[in-house]
Amino acid sequence: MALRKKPGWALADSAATPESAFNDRRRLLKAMGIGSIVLAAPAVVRLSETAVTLPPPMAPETAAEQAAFYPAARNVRYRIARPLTAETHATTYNNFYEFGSHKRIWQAAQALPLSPWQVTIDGMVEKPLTMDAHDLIKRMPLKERLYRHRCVEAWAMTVPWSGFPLSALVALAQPLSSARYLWMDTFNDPSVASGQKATWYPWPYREGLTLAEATNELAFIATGIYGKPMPKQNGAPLRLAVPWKYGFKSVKSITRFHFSDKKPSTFWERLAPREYGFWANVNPAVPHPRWSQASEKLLGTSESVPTRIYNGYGEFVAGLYDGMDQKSLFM
Amino acid sequence: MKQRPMAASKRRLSLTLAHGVGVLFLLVAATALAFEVMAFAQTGSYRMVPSGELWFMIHVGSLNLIQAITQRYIHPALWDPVIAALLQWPAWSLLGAPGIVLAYGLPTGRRV
Repeated sequence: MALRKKPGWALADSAATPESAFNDRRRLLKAMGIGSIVLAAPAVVRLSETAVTLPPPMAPETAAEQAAFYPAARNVRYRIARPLTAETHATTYNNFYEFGSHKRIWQAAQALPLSPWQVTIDGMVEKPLTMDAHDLIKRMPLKERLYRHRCVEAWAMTVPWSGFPLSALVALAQPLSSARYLWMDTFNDPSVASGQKATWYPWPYREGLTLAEATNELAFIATGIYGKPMPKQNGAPLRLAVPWKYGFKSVKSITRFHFSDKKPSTFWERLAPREYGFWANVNPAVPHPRWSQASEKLLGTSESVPTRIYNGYGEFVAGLYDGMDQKSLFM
Repeated sequence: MKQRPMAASKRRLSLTLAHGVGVLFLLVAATALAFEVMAFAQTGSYRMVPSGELWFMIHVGSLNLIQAITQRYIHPALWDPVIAALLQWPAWSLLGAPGIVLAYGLPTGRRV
């Protein structure tokens, strides 16, 4: 459910970490001698962003060992022209419908247990897999990317995600040639997320992409943010980041990747198909039935800026939709 | 004490409206109960239909909207746990009880 409302994140500018300090953190770490310790950590085995040869899985690690993955080296291909959103805002102004419909979700989400966290890869694949999320993360080529994020509620943020390309996971899964869609499900545990006690909703939260979208270079599985492991309220331990689509497509706390030849019936599509459809590509010219999408409020500021088609990522993704019904792509 | 004609007229209108709402609640409660009984007759097992499920089936948009309004503009806890708990009750009891009160527990509003 989305409503246009007065933002609750209007904190003083003094609360924000200066961008220059954030961008310079690697130099600071290096000066402190921490960077070399992180790089030398023997448990950290990563691949380049394009490689898919996998090392054997390792034993579950401690939180401190997990933290050693971050900050990941930044991939400078994904540039942004906006200042980064302050971490305080990006980690306290969240939607996470399993925990409710309000904006104090970050506190409620702390109840989510992250270890163990089993991830299943199944459906139309060569060999179904189930593994611990941390083992999966260790097998993947972690990088940091700066992405804009555009919520369907007309606010936006710009954050440094850490994670790996979704295409690397697709390569790991080895989908059959008949697979056309990738479904992604979040957890389903009403004892943790009280919203899931409402059994009439179609839990678990499900989102999906076409396989062409999932293997587009922008599609990213985020495991960290601001150079640290992902906070629970932001979708730990694994969440999707597809910056050319409205934020509700970027499913959080994923437990299952399912390959299919059928388009998934997604959570919000089942609730309100005219408002939150399967494609949900950002387009300022196509308003939500109850509000305009022409501009977006930058989280943590009083600034509004014009929204761009595909959230400004058209050069990467517009070709995915050539020849398709343009009307349905933006809702 | 004798009421002035305008005040008495407003009171009668309010009572008539409340009575109408009560009758409506009772009708929906009866429908929900009939739904449960029919399901029981068909399957041989009883399954209570929570009020939230009935609301979801009838009009999911308003359920979603009212949750958002309650949690964002009034207080998150008013929805969860208070209203969320009520929505777990069977529809026939959640609507039937206030329906009886409104339909039969109030004065009729007619002059006697």
